[in-house]
Amino acid sequence: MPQTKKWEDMTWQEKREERFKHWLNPPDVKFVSKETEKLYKQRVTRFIKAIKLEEPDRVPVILPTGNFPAYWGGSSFRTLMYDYKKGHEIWKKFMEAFGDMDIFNGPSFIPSGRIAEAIPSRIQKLPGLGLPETATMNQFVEGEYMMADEYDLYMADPTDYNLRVMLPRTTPLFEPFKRMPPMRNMMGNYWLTVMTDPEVRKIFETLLSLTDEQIKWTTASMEINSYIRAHGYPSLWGGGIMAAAPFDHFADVLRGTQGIAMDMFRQPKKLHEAMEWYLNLSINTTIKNFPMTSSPICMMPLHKGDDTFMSDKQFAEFYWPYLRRLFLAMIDEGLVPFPFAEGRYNNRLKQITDTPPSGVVWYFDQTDMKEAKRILGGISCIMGNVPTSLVIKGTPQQVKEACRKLIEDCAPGGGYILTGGASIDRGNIENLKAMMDAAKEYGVYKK
Amino acid sequence: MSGDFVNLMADLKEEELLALTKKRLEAKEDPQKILDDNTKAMAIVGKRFAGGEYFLPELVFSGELLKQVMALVTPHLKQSSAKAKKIGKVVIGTVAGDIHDIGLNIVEFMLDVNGYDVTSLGVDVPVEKFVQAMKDTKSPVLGLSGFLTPAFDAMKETVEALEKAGLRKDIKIMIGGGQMDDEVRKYAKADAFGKDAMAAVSLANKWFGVK
Repeated sequence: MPQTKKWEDMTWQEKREERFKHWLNPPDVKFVSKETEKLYKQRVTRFIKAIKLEEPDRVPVILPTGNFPAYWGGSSFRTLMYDYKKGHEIWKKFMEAFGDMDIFNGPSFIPSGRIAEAIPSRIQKLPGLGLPETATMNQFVEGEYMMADEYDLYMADPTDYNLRVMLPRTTPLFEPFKRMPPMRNMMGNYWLTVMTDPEVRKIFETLLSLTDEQIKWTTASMEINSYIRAHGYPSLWGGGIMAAAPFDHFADVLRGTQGIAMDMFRQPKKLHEAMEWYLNLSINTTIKNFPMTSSPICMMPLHKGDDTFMSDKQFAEFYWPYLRRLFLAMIDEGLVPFPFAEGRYNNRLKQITDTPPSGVVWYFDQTDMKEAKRILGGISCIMGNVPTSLVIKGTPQQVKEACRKLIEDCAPGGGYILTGGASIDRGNIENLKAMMDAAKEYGVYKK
Repeated sequence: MSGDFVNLMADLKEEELLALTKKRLEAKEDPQKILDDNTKAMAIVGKRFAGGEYFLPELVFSGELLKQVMALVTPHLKQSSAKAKKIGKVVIGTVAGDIHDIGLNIVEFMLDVNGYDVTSLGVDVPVEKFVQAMKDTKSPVLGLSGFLTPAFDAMKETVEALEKAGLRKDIKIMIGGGQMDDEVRKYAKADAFGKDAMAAVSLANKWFGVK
């Protein structure tokens, strides 16, 4: 791409413009017609304007479709874990049946059943693999996988820790890795020496036996996503999930709710040291010089900073300073942090105002949107939160009315995206259509 | 010593609390008194949680302190230690297909410190297990927890199974957690929705006639 200025000399806004241009003119997408290309650009422009706190032609919508197409198409999460092609067909049919949407994504979050079966995980349960076959989504099992006295070990060599400590604890196939020598010693044919251990060898044999399956799954997922984009529907999944909130990194995955609560009282200094370390590691190894991806959006689910998990004081001490600096590093690279604040963030609103205007997009679940607009208006684009229960169980009229109220409260002046609180799996497709209708009927900005 | 003990525990001062516990035991104090102080301290923790002063980390840590004190006291307890009188029985559990327990544990804690005899059935509880527990405990109050949207149907199925077993008319059912709200309450035909653990206590108090 022709650039007049060198990347490192650009302001964050200029870098972001370059990334927006790439999102708007994706070099890897072959649109099926001029019309789909036009629609794609219209849709992306809608989002770019909302992110920049400007008024687009109308309020953009992200439908909380999640795995909804699977059940709408008479299939299930479990079936699609094994039949990737079928997922393909159903998602295409849904896309055609639904028509106009501002964003649409393939069933990328349904993992491969054969791989999940061959490499069971203690962290994630799936339909038929730890959950009833009829379960409609995956669930995570929290636990104290890293012990209270292992922070230093983890920070000294995270790769070694992940391979020889974490993996054996979370994934039974890798248990023999416990017996391996430290990874920094694994030079040259040392690998062969360790593979003379039949159980270690079994790990590599299992991995090799699954690579074709992995290729099939990845290819199917890429195919459907290219198909969707070629038909004019942009994807939000550009930056991917590149880093977690430093507090959540330790609280969700490593220490668990119980463990992190102990650390906050027994070894707060160590926890701070570890979060500082993780923040710098993420910035230096992932965020800096992040490649040009299909969109600059960096989706990031947030968990343990919500109103019920901690006090304002704890949020100000343990959560926000690190998350804020992570956001600033992303913004500086021209990326768009897109935190999904699960639960309620009412108390937090006043604490998250110190980021550059238009830098962050806040996706709220059950937060009071009128308050969010009042406090974050002019600072961050906000999105949310048609109640999930209403989208699943309510009538189309109720859904449309809830959207109308949200638009009335949040849309004036721009900087608002209409969406659900959380994704849905089942329910009436008319309720999703009611969301689109509401945006078109009530969300048009007058020129 | 007793007053200090209650404050140390309620203020979450681990080292001092454990030192004082040992001192009281060495002084041959009746261990039952320490248990009574535990109850008093936990009631303060519960109040601070309800008042927005304490949050989940404090709740979890107070539970850990209680566990440690109990480990010291238990060897000194006589078998016949009198049990504190409870207001009534409440059964709680996370519905089938959902394995989330953080909210469930907070509700258990808050009901317990507010004087209820709580039976927690844990997570991913099959419908039949709820029915059996309501028969066994004869509890008049049931709390259903759920985090995810599939819990909407699991809650409805649980309520229907209780109807079928002829138990529904004698039971008050409250729901709460994650994506639950009054819309789901109507759908599942439960009696009440509570937005947090304090609501669970107020609902139980209302149903048990506690003022």
